[in-house]
Amino acid sequence: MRRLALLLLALCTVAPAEAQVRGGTIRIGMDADNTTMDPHRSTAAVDRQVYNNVYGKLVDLDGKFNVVPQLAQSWEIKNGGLTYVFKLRRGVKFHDGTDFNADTVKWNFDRMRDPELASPRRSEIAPVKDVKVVDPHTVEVTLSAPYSPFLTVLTDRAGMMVSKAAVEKYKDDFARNPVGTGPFRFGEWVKDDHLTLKRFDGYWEQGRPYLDEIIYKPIPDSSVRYTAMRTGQIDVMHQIHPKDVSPAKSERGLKVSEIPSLWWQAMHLNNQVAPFTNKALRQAIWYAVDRSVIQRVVYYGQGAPAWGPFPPSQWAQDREFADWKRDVAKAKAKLAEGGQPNGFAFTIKGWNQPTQVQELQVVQAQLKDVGVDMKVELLEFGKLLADLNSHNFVALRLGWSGRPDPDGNAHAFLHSKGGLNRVRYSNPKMDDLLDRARSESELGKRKALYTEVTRLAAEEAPYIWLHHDAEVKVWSEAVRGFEHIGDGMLRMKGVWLEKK
Amino acid sequence: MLKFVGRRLLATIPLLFFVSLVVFALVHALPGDPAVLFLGEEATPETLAKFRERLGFHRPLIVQYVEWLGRAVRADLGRSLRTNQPVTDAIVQRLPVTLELMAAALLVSLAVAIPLGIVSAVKRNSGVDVASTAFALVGFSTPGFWLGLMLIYVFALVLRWLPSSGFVPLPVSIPENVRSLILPSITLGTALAALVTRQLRSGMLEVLRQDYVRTARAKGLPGGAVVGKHALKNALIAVVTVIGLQIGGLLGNTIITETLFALPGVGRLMIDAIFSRDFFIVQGVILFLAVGYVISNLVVDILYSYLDPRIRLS
Repeated sequence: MRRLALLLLALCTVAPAEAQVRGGTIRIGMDADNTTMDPHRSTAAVDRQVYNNVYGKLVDLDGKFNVVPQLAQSWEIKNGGLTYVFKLRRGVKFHDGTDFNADTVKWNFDRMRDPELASPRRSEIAPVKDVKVVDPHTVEVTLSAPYSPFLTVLTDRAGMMVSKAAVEKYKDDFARNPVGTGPFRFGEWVKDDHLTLKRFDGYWEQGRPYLDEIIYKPIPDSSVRYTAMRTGQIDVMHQIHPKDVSPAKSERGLKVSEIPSLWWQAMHLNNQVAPFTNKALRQAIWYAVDRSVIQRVVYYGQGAPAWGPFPPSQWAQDREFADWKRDVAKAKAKLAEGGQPNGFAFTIKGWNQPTQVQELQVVQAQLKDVGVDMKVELLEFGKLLADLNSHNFVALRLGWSGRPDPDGNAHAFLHSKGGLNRVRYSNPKMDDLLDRARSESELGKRKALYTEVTRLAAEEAPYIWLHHDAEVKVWSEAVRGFEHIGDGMLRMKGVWLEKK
Repeated sequence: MLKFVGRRLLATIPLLFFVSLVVFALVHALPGDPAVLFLGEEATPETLAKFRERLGFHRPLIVQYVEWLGRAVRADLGRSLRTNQPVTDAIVQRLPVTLELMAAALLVSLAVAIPLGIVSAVKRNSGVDVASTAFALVGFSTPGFWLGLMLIYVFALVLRWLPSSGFVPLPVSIPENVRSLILPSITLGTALAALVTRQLRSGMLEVLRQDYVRTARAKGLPGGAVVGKHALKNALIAVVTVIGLQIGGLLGNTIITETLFALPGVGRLMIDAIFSRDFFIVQGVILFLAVGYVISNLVVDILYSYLDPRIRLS
């Protein structure tokens, strides 16, 4: 009896079930293989997953998209948003043993800004005018104009610090020999088969990471990937098809986490080509489409209907959207106003991918209710992008992965000089709102400006937003300590595997 | 013999030249700009121009073609646009997977088809024959991807005997390597097995009716020897022809099988490259496959002369 009591006591003291376990290998099923290991040259979204564990960033995001310290311990914004002074963390080492300091930060910015490297990061940090080393642990970044999204830009690849010594040693082959300051160092990469990361023992955060090893396995087909998850060949699954989410929730041994992402899906209406030069006809489409049906039927109830560029995960979203509804009578009135009381016909180009095709079919049926005949032309993705960029479309369906700062979900698409404004929408009032929201630093004022942006966009309907995707991850029960953030990144430094 | 092989190889040169031209033209006729696909929607026109210039895409197509061909004859197929890896390295790295998969599929199909074909010919119209005909019909008309999905469902998901995807290289673990290839090789090999069964059955039936078989039987040779030695060898000629012709189809089907089972083979290399407009990879792989196809046909021709000495190689 005493022994039993002792045993129980022992169990009670040892058993806080959440005690982190060190060691072990975690296998992550990815939708695609990495393209390069150099964050300053990467263009594929999937690359960021691995980078988040190999490279330290100046700053990171928390679950609410707040910017939190990482390699920069603190920062100060001066001169009305023109100057950012970063205080860097001390004692941080790269995987190759070299020190991380202010010189490295300056060198990293210079590398991204070098026209010769043609880095995709260059346009992301275009507002940066100058980077100055104040002392070994302080860097001062000067912008050419106030740019509120600057810090969140640094939570992605533009904020990832690479080892200068390694770049100088490997040159172009740095892309296959990456060296960062992250919790895991590069192990090996067998293209299309696996990419392995190993624990970095010199990581600056005491006691972390817990895992010995991460293996990324590219399994492009989502049902094959889901099967690998169910058969225990992978421990974490990135990107699941909406139809599999509900079954996954009832599958024994699996955990499913579903949170709002930053995505939007939309129909791009070419504002410079008939019939969509006519605002009333764009509005007719706006009112005729039932987003909630799309959410239920195409996305199996996941995500949220979209009435603008800002998803529910963003503070910029106008909450009144939730009440907006399809209005067939209004759509018909708008058709009459636009001089097409009996409806009209147009062709939309779309990507030949099952979910997107289904979505277009639902829209097609809905538009038929008001007499609009939407023809669907399905294209391969490369061709679709080419047509988008050359403005060769009347309407085109495409999504946007979104950015943590609302500016990244709207400016490029709605500003007359926006880099992704392929619909050639132009309204000086919209430009002004977007520019002000970009340079404004006070959150309350920015939110008010973005509400105006949303309403103006709804009024003018240059795009018909359809859906905000859910961000879903699936992992096995043994995986612990994973914090699911809306940007979908698998940050593994706090993750451990429960012993079975 | 050597002369024959030499002549055949020489004859392939214009053929390969033609293939290279078609491949190059096709790849460049694909709509969609690789620069946009690589640099993303946000890339500035300046960055795009720089990218095209770095890869020489701004020059006339004919110049690009001649240069590519000039390097290709020296086994330099260029570098992947995406990963900067030399194309030949990329192919060589994945080739063992595809070859092993094809060999395993061939093995599976022959292991099924040869006994089945023989028995159904010898015991014509018996239950075995009917069953084999049914198998051939179903096997040949079942789409590979569907069969693969069903096999995954039964053996990986329900029974949990075999992995649903992934590949373990031979040097890492022999049993794991075999396990990782069982389902893919059945998926890939079934259609071929069906075809070979039918081919062998009709070949055997024809041969078994020949006079020399009757003579052999009349001499009192045991049935096994008649079938195995006299009939089978002759019936195999048709089978070898079928297999030779099917190697190309088998290669094509590896693309589906490798995608379904997430095997890092040449097929998947190509499909990924097509979707991302990785020109040099696509060109390299197709050229490589064309060479492979030509060589496999050559091997089939040589095998003929072994199986039927009456066929003169000259």
